[in-house]
Amino acid sequence: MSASKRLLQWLDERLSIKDDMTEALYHPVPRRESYLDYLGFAAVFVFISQFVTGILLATVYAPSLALTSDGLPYAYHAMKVLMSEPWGYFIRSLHFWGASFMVVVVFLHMLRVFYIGAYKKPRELNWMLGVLLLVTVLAFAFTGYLLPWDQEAYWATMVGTAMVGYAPLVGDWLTGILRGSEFLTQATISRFFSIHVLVLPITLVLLMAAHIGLVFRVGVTEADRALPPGWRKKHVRGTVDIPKGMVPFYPYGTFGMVMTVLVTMLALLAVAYFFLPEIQAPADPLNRDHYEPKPPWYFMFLYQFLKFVPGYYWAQVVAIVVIPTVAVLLLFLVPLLDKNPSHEPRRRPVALSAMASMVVLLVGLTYMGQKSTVIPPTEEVVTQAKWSDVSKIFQAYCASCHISTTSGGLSLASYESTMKGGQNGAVIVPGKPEESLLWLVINGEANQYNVPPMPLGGQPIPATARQTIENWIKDGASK
Amino acid sequence: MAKDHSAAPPSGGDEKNPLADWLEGWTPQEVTRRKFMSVSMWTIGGLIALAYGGLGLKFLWPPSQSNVPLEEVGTSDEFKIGDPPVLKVTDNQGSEGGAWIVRLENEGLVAYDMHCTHLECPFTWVGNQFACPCHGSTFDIHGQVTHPPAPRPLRRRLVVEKDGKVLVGGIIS
Repeated sequence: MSASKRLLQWLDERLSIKDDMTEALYHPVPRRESYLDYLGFAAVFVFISQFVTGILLATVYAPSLALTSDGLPYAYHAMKVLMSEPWGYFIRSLHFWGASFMVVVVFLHMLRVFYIGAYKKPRELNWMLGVLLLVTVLAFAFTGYLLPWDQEAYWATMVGTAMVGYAPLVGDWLTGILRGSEFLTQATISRFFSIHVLVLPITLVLLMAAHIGLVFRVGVTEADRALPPGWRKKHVRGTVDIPKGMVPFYPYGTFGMVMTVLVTMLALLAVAYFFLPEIQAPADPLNRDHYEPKPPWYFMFLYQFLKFVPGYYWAQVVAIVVIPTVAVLLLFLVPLLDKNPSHEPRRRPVALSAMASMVVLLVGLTYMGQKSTVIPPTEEVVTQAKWSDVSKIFQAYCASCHISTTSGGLSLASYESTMKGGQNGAVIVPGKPEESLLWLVINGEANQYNVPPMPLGGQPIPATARQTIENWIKDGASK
Repeated sequence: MAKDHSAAPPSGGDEKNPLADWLEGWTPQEVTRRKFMSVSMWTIGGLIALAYGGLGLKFLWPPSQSNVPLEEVGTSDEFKIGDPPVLKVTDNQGSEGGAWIVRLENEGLVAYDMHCTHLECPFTWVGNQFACPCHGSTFDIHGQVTHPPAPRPLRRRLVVEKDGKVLVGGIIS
């Protein structure tokens, strides 16, 4: 007997692992495989990458706001030091992009599982574990976001934790527990750090172990169709029994997994190498630079959604607390709500239409939210301006509020809605800039109409862009 | 009842699951050794969990705003009726915070916390009102909402004038 066999036997005599290992490695899988079925494994890989890069970052970073000799809070200073050195910067980039990869891979994994109906009996519990894992991943992203302590981190977390405050009865208390103070302080960054590096990794590892354990326990959906009827019942655990037309998981399936991991890794390395993440100015609790808070892209749909909500208190509670909670709950209960036993896409019109609408909604809101970020339009004055020229300016400076009619009834999303105006009537009088409300507000001259200068609370639109708008109105505000 | 739940304990004796038995109807006269141990185990376990839960909660409980000490931000003659509000830096439990201070005709000296009552973005004084860049809320000089989505008037902070100095404390409304 070889040494490795003897070692295995020695272990088996003490742990009884042989049957479980045989089952894990040599269960039958269909000969024809889809790499999409290995997305879950890609998620495991991204998590391991986050784990390793996270440990490396923790050797440099500390969640302290004590001021260093350069007058910066230590947490921010540590990020600066890290990013001043090529390998440090690359590790940070890997961890930064890893968060986005995690969200994307988990989302795609869920879509695939939903599409093939893999959440149906007997795999309902594994879908539910998956939803808990999704929530954990989002919690990771949310808590990690604060740690660099720059403007974006600070204000996104301020808004995010303030949202919790809308929960009925316990809201203010929950916000207090999360922040550890009235607003964001040393207590907040310490709490977020310990959640991010202690609570969540343990939670994720436990949930993931259960999730993967169940996959081995119950078997995969794709094998169900290929297996002869009654195979699972007759099968004796620990024996190798590969039916005709099928192959053992090892090495056929595991090869596909490794390929999936390789592709994911190459993509992550490439993105992290070519797109190094920036760090903004250090967090300024007084926001002297009038920074306009925006969430990271994976929470953009929520940010965009909130813009469509009317201003009443209870509408806010419904939008901020009730709808997201109900949405997660519905997602969790999908296996119990969908009683259709079929796995065939054509026989699941309701479920798949619901899935498609959700995807369109999420992608659409994310796209709209991203588009409303400030993209500096051309710095030069356009003399014979058309709608396309001024539309770019509106997109950059006005669309974060005036994308629908919730702000002053004015939407600058299209030519027609712009010409229609808002609750104060038309905002454009073709040929006459001084009589156009829009021109007056961006030049801060509309006080007699009781409309504050725009952009509200922000820096004025650059003079060149204002001149372009003036030219466009003067020339008749054509399309 | 399912068979599995009433499976015999390995050591024989009473052939019912002690916990299931206890749930079905517990009367003081029937306290067996087994029941006593079972009840004690769950009680002690629960108490240990409660102790640690309480300890954690007490530790994490946020400090009260009323503990914020008064802090000097300027002199009385800096703030005159008719002047626009001024943002003053204050200490916020070890981090920076701020209050907009203005002297109003009927209300006297007023200090507004610098965070919007919608989602706590920082607002600024623009033209003739407070405006928030995040979601477009506006407030008048009295802190009342003039444009949603902010659901509540601006929060006021304790403000005291003493010996010609202006002192600001915690949030009072």
